[in-house]
Parts: sequence; structure tokens; C-alpha cells
Amino acid sequence: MEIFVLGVALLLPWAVGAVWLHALQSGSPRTPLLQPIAYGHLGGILVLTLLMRAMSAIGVRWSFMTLSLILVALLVAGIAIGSRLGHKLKSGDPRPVAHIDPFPWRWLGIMAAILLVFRMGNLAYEVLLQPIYPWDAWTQWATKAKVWSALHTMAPFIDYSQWLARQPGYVDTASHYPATVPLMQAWMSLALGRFDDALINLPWLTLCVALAAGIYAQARALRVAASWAMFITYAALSLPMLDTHVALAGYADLYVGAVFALAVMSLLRWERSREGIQLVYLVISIALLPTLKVPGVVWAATLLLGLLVAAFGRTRGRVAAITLSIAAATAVSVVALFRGKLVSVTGQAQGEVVQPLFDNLFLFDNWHLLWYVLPIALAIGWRDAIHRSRGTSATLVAGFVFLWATFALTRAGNWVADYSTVNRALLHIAPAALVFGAVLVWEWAIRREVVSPIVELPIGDQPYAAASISKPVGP
Amino acid sequence: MSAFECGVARLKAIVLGVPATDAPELPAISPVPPRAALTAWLACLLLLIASLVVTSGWHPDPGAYVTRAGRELVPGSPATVQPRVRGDVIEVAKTDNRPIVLNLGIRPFRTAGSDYVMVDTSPLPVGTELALLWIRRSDPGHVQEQVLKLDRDHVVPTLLDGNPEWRGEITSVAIGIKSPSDTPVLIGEVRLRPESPRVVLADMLRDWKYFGGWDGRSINVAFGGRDEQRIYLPPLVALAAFLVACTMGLVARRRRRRAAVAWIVIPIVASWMLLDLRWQRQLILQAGETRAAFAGKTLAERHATMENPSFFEFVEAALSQLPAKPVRIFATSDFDYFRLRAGYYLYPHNVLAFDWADPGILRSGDYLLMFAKSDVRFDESAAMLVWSDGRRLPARALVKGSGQGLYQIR
Repeated sequence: MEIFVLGVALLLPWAVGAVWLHALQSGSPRTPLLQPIAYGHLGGILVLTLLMRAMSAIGVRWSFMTLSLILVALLVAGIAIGSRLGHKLKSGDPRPVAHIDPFPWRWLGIMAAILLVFRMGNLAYEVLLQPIYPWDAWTQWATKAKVWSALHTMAPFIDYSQWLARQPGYVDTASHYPATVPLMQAWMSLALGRFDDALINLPWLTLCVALAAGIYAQARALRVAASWAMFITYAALSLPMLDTHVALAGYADLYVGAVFALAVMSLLRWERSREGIQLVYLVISIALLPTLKVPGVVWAATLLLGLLVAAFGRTRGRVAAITLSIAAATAVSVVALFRGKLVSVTGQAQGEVVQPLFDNLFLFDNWHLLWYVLPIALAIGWRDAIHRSRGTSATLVAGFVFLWATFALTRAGNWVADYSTVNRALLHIAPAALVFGAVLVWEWAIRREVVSPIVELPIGDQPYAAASISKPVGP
Repeated sequence: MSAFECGVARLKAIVLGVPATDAPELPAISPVPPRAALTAWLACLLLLIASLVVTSGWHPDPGAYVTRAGRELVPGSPATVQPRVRGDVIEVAKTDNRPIVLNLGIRPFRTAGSDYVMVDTSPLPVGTELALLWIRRSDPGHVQEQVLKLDRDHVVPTLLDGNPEWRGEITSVAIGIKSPSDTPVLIGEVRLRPESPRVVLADMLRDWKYFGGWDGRSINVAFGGRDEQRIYLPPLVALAAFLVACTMGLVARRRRRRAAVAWIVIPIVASWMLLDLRWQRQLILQAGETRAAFAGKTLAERHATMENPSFFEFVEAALSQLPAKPVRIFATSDFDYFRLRAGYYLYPHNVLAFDWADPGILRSGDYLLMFAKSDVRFDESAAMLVWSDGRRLPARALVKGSGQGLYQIR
């Protein structure tokens, strides 16, 4: 019975998101399913947590049955509407198959898939058995989940002085933190009927599966061959920091990183193909990010910047104007929303920042070879990055600038010096950067192996294989 | 014909064998089977490791060569607990974190700075620390120290070439031991030897393979083996990959060809997978630890396994005394961990687990939970909580103990 309710809790919101997104896609029987499945996970989180917030706001106590019934109703509605109304948004080529493969190494895809499946099993084992362990997970995230699931509503979390003044509400070490992650944990707890601080973290595992599905699906849709797409997926999911955040689940950083990576992939796809459905994916991700963690506001802003640059940034002047506008709007929003938090990081870091940063990027195995390979990928793919992926590049550059400014110009640099937050912050951008870099390498390889180096690839989704070439090229 | 059309024509020529009349001439790509690139990368990596091992492990000057059986070690003074000799070994009991010093009784010798030390011991209790201590003739007033490397519960060879103080003439050498456990440590033998390439290689491999299990730092950093290493694996494999790519690029250029992408991509992929296989091994070992600790246990039993037993027992007892309806609780301890962790267990009670100091904020009906708290005691006769600065609050004891308890303010 417990396995059944856990299955329902994990899959029902996911199914709602997937069905609605699939409904918006082309109804062609050859429409790839993996994309709505991947992004449906994010959509499901958004729908479920909005529902829980709405019920709390109107004073209705949650119950697993009520929430499930509403989700089932949404699921049925999604199926019905999808079958009648669908096919509204352009969803691209239903056959996203690469005909040219500069890396025709089937063994690579097979090996990556095997390692990936093994990794997921390994991580699942940890999530299932290990009670909540890392510090912030039980001082500022699961605290809220425990209270809300016990009270069946979102009791307010207030700050220390308000609590001492006997105002109604609870307090923990980060009362102002966004609610989506603890709401997911509370949902799992409602399903179980008890607070099991190992099983409430299962959504971290399903998020990982959704991330893998999304990366693979989007890479394939970008006409990356199956073996390289699988390798990219494996590479992203093999990052030790990412894996650790699944195994020792309970922090919101994995959510931010996964959502941002999926958003960047959809932005990249939209830039190339202008498919409406990619905009829907992007909007869901942008909406979700600020509800996950405080820096999510900035990550959402970087995506918005990328979107605007992709849509309107045809000249340098326009790109500069868009960047300045978004930066100003973000700065104002962040100051208005998180003034207290900003005060705590204003100032200069006390310790050395550069050496610890170097250690964490290049010496330790936090990221395998990501930070060695990324500059190479950018060096060989910079033309594509600038001309064909201007918006995505703008998003990632803005993301790195944000991280640099945070650590170099504020007291948050101390968290680099003591190895505490630096990798968690990088986790927000690392999967996205990896996937983007790997796509650039792929496109560079095609250009190098097949097409004359002097030929510019056309903008848009017109592939390299104008001729229908079915035979792989390569040694 | 546009450039794009030229490209398409060229592409047709390559793939379909269709003649490309106006296609521009491209430099030929030297085809390369992935195996060749993989072999080149592997050879390069092994060469790099070999050169590192030989350059740092081969020394013409003889260094230290000392062997002492446990029974030959001389306890230094002052020692709170005197070690005892049992047969060939020497037994060191609990030291309460005050170091016991065991002198090797050597003749002075000169070292080139590249020796290693190995101590054979019984399995070490958790928290035990061993160090090599020595005095140089040029600096007789200072005892130098090198903490010895451990792999879980046993000592492994510690190379001294990383310690700048291990140089010149050494006049005295000893082993220092700190052990918080009641389980005695048995020392069988201490050896000081000159480093060799084999020892250096073994040390590097041990560092790379080191498995420490999850700890408080794991969520923030993955060292990839031991925290401090002679050389970390990621830069080494990256260097091997880049050397292969650059070499083949240069060779191709000299032959007026373009190097195939395999020369760049395969070494990077192989490097990535090598690092990941090591990480996978760590995860498998971790799964074994997790299984041993938690499999087949209830959630409460798993928490009891994770926690300090007396703390968890106390929290369980406190929870059993609290009403079902959430109440207002102030949690406190001298230690952040216990205060916050107690707070976590107490939710959904309305708990304040910050470090607050003023008892004046407590009101009648509030609860106070304290664990490992030194400056508050409960005066049973007066039914009062008494702070070390003399402030007092009337209270009812629900759970009580030394430095800990659950109280309701009256």
C-alpha cells in the first residue's frame, strides 16, 4: 500500500504536467513524448504547489485524497482537452534524428546508458535508506515540511523577533525561504500519512530522472545523434556534486540546477526553431525558479534576458539595452524582496577566494572535467554561441557574472574560502553549462568533419543534412 | 554556387560518393579509430604518472632507515597513562586526547627530506590520531609534527617529502598518540624508510582511492579521494587528454591534414569516464556503508544509529512527555548541533532553536528543552531553573538529568 501511495504521489503531479504539455504539442503520433514527460515534471510541481498554496490561502486543510482527486480531475481534463484542442503550438520536426554523426561510436551511448541506469539505482538506494542528513536540509527546508504536513496547511514561518513577540507562526533558521521544496516534501508526507524524512526526499530522484529525460530529448531534438545525446545526459548526471545532492537529498540547489538546465535547453531550442511549445517550457521554468530558492529570482532574470536577446537582440545596441534593463529590474526586485538578506552579505570577503575557487573547480572532483572542457567548448564553438545561440549565451554569461559578482564583490566570498557554498552555487549553472558546451562541441564536430570550415551553418533549424543522408559519416 | 551549396556538394561527395564538381578542396581528415585515440590517451596518462613517480620517488641519497618493534619504544614523560609492553607490542590505553609520546631512540641521522613512516597498529578506535614527532639539530627547541595518514581504522605509509621541516640532521624521533576511546591501541612496529618510486605510486593510488564516507562536508565538496593529495587526479587526466589532442593536432598540421575530432573528443570522454568510475566506486562503497547502517531498520532506529545515543534517547523521552497539540518550546544547548537537531525532532511543536540567552523571554506555560547545557541547572527543592548568573525561573521538571532536561515554566 505504501509503495502504491508513494507511486501516486510521485507520478500523479508529473502525469498532470506531462499530459497538459503534450496536449499543447502537435498531435502527430510521431511527436516525441520525452519532452513533455521531462518538462511535465516541472509543470506538475508548479501545479501541485500552487494548489497547496491556494488551499492554504482560502483556509482549506490539505488531505492527500482531496489533492489527488483534484489532480486526477486535471489529468482527465488535460487528456480530454488535448485530444480535442491540441496541435496549437508548433512543436517542430517530429523526427529529430541526426543523419550525420561525427561521433559514430555506438559503444559510447551504450556505456553511458548503462552507467546512467546504474547511477540512478545507486542514488535511489541512498535516498530510500538515508534519513535526512545535511545541515540545511533539517534546519531550514524539512522543518517547514514537517510542520505543514502535520498541520495540513501552510502555517506561517516568521522571523526570530516576531516569534519572540509572540506573533502566531513558526520559526527556523531561514523563515523567509521560498516554499516549493518543503511543499513537495509535505506532499510526500501527506501521501505516507507520517513524516518519514528519508522517503519525503524521493522527489529529488524523480527530478533527476526528469532532468535526464529532458536533456536527452532536447539534445535529440537539436539533431544530436543518439550516442552523443546519451553521453551528454550521462555526463550531466555524473557530476559528483549533482549526485551528492540526490543521495543526500534535502537541499533546493539541485532543483534550481535542474530547472535552470531544462530552461536553458528550451531556450536554445526556441532560438533555433521558434517552436511555441519551447516557450511554454521556458515560462514554466521561469515561473518555478523564484519559488525554489532566493537566487532563483536572478536565475529567472537571466533566462528572461536570454529570451529577450534571442527575440530582439539582433544588434549589439539592442543586446546592451536589454541587458541593462533586465539588470536594473532584477537589482530593484532583489533589493525590494530580500533587503535583509542583502545586508548580511554586503561587504568584502575576509579570506582568500581565488585559491579555494581554483581548488574546487580544477583540483577536486566536484565537477569531473567540466571546467577544463567548457572553455575549450566555447573556444571551438564560439561562432555558434554568438550567432546561433545568442540568447542562450547571454543567459549563461549573465549567470556566471552573477556568481562572480556574488563571490568576488560581497561577503559571500567567505563561503568560497571555507568551501561551504561555492559548489552549491555552481550547481545552479553547471548542468546547463555542460549541456550547452556539449551541444557546441557536437556542432563544431559536424562542421569540422563534414562541412567545409568556411561554410556558416544557417540560422534556424535547417539542418546540416539538406540532402537526406542516412549513412553515418566517420571512420 | 554559394558557400552553403559548396558545403552540401562536398558533403554529398563524402557521404554518397556523388562527384562534387565545384566543391572547394578541403584538407583531408586523417581517419582515426577510437581505439587509437584511447590508446594514445592511456599511454600519455601512464607516462605522466610514471614521470611523476620517478621524479619524486627516486633519490640517490640514502635517507632514514629505522625499524623499532613496539617493545623497543620508550614512553616519554610526562604521560598520564603509562603504556604497557606485551610481548613484542606496546599497548596504549585511553589518553583523553592528551598525547602519549613513544620515543624511537635513534642515533642522529641526516635526511634529504624524502622518507616515509609506517606504523603497524591494531585497528584504531574512532577519533584516534597518530603523528610523527621529531627534533632537528638546527632547531632543538621545537618539536616538529606530521600527522600520519589513516585509511579508516589503520595507518598507511605517510610520505614526509611534503613536510618542509623534515630535513637536515634529525636528532630525535617519536610517535605521538591521541585516543579518546577506551579500546587500547597496540603498536607492533614503527619503520622509517627512504622513499622509492613504488612507495610514491602506492601513496598516489591510495589517495585517489581513499573512501571516507558521507560527512558534514559532503554536501559542499567532493574531494575525489583524500582531502589532501600529492597530485589530484582531475588535472592529471585532463593534462593527458590535452597533450594527446595537441600532439595529434600538430602532427596533422605538419602533414597538412586536419586532425580528426576523435583525437580531441575520445581522450576527454575517456578522462571523464575514468574519473566517473572512481566516483562510482565511491558511491558503491557508500551504498555498502548505508546498507550496513540502515538496512532493515525502522526510521526511529535509523535516526538512533545516526545520532549520539544519549541525545536521541533524551529527545525521545522529551517528546513522550509533550502534549499532542503543538506547544511553544525553547530549545537550548552549548552546541549548535544539539540545539538545532533537537529543534528538528521537536517540530511540529512550535520550537525556537536559536541560541538565545535571556531567560526573561520565557513565559508561564512555555517549555524549555536543554541538552548539554552547562550554565543552567534545576533546583529541585525550590522547583526553580537557575542560571549561572543567578537568574531563576519557577519550573516543573518533565524530564531531568545533568545538563539536560525538559521543563515547563510555571
